Amino acid sequence: MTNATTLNTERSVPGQIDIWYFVLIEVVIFSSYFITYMLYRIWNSDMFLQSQAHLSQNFGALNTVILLVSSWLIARAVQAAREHKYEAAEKLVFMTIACGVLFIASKMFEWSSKIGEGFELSTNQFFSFYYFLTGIHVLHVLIGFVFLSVVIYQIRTPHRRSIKVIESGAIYWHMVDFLWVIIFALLYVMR
Amino acid sequence: MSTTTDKRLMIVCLVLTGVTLLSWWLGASHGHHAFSLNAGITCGVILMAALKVRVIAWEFMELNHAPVKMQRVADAALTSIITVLLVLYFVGLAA
Repeated sequence: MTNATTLNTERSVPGQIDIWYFVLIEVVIFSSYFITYMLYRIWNSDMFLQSQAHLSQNFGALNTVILLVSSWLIARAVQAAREHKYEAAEKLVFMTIACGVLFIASKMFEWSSKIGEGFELSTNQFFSFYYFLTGIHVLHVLIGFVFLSVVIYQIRTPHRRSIKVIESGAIYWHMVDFLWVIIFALLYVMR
Repeated sequence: MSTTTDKRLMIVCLVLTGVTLLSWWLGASHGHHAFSLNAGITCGVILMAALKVRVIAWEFMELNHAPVKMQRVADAALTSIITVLLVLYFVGLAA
């Protein structure tokens, strides 16, 4: 008991507690989307599989790797900020944003190629889910840019600088990453 | 940046990328059977996604330093959603 109490006092919540409540709410909302997707998939598994065959596995994997790298970069930025290496931290945040821009650009390219092939939001239930889930995720990437801008502002403004706010921005970005990991599994790879 | 932390973050990123490439290979390397129902691929892919989410939460979001209660909530949330997704998939197979 004493050991457990000591261990707990050494531990601390990364970032601000509010960001964790936000992450929890987002997880609940996205989980409801994933469960709805699975239910529709059960009711029409053949159509879902046939439609899934028209998605590019390569694009899905590339998108995942881009976001994983961006998560790695922002984690390094937090570490650099903790060590008061603010120039390096700022550079790493900009690299994270560049990965986000690359992710959105590749999504736009993928969407335009699907639309060009005749697969639109109204084509069938699978493509409705595809555009909805990837679209709502891209919206979260865009919101992530706002969080990362706040992180840059914090890094650049010594009298306002708060490591908790910087950590919170990073936590939001990691959430965007892990939500995509599940979307990739459900939309692109599962059979 | 401290070399140990930097190295650890790099290893985490490489492991996550490796698992992603493995699930991509699982989904892409089954020839004409690629788009038929396959419980093995689905289980593998969903469990690999769960592993990746946990590694991101623990290593990048730093839940490994968070209070035990918070870690338990995160584990419970992840286990619940993955269990529900797998149960729904198998219900669909049995239907």
